[in-house]
Amino acid sequence: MPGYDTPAQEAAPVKILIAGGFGVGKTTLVETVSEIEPLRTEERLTAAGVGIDDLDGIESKAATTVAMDFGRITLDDAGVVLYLFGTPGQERFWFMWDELLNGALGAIVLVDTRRLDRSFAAVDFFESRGLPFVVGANCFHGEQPYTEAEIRAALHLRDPGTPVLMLDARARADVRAALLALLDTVISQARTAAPV
Amino acid sequence: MTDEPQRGSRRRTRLYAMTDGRTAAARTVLTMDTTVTAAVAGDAHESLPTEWRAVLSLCPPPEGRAVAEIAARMGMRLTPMTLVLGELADRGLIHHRPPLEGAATTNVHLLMRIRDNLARI
Repeated sequence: MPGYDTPAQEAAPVKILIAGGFGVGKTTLVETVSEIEPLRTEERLTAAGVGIDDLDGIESKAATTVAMDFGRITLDDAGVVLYLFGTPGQERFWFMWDELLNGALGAIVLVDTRRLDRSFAAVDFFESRGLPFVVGANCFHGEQPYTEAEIRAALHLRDPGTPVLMLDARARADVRAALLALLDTVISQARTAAPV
Repeated sequence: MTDEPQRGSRRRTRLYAMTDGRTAAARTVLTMDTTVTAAVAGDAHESLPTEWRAVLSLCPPPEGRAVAEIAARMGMRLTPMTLVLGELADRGLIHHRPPLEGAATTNVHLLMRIRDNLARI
């Protein structure tokens, strides 16, 4: 059977990453806005590349299995399907996984201000790779003892324009606001790169 | 998560069964955010392996499904799933649409449409 051209009516997939340390609420955030129950996908990473030992089943010492929870939002009017991928907590493996970043529009870095250090790796990673991101300070129990300026200073954000939002990962309006802030950041960068 | 035998009721299918014995890489390379759409109905070809038909029934047109979603619903890891889907693509059983490229992610007009649509969710 011959291959066919892609039918035009398919929505284009667009990927947004939800990063942050373990237990910071990434899956909760995905669940809050996803139109499906979050799904889990796994990948086997090795120091030599992604998944190369999957066919023979030999376990390599340098291999690890990472899991990601993700959801989707169909945006019919824009003709795209947004996939929100909660990144695996083991940031040290992201460097082996180019596919994670390839084609990503941007990221939301969720932080828990009680454990801010758990989100440093994600901030460093996106800054070094030049991926636009916003910071969302998850307010557990509806409380946030720190101000935006304090969080910004503690995270040592390289770009003073990086938005820092207070949010409740369970609140749909908050998560939507974070996504909109990310889109605004991506749009302003796109405008800078190619003035209209 | 490890391969827990109690997970679900289905057995883990050996990969060589799903790839029809082929272990060489498929010509079509798919990423986790590639959208896959069945080119034939899953129940229309009884000669196809059961797992292939299960895959086809997961991504009916017009909308299709991302590779990651098919992998999750099939209970497979990403890499083996992309190999199976690559095989199906090589045989013309699925269409695939790659994620937006760098050029599209700097397309202000498209980004504005995404933003406007998001504001209404």
